[in-house]
Amino acid sequence: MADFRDHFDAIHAAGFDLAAVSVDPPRTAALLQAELYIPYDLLCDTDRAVIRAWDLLNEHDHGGIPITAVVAVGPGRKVLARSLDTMTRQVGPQDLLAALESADLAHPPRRFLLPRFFEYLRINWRARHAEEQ
Amino acid sequence: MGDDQPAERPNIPRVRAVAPDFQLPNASQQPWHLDEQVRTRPVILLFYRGHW
Repeated sequence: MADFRDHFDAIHAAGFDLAAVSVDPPRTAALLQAELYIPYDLLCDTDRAVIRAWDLLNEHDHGGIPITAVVAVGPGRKVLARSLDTMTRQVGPQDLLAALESADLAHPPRRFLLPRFFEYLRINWRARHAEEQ
Repeated sequence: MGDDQPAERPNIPRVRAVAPDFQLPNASQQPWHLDEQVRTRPVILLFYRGHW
């Protein structure tokens, strides 16, 4: 959540919207949004219909919550990229970048916008790793 | 980001598949409709555990 928040401006400038789905009710989502300064929509699947339809419901965790995942959806609701998190692997903007680079870039605006998005994330990733070394 | 399909979850939308449509309220209780959103720009959906 925070990683995508920190990259929100670049992602949005590149032509993508962001939204996050949980089973939290709107009041709880609003608190989280304020606490973490989340600039994108937090969607409230309180009856679990969406995460059930998308086969992302983990019924054995906290009464039924989503398994964590990132899905990029394009025109016609076509899935452009997807990642299901595991205990040892969580997708971030850089991972999404790599996946979208290899995706079908059939949508004209994305042809124009994606390179700038990728370049921004590459620069950001290199800067972060340079700081760590 | 691979497209491995967990055997126990055969219905997770795959890459290049059409994702199921939905409409949900946001934190301000305003409706958010996936099909309408992607008409103007692609959307990155984060599925998360929720507030603890």
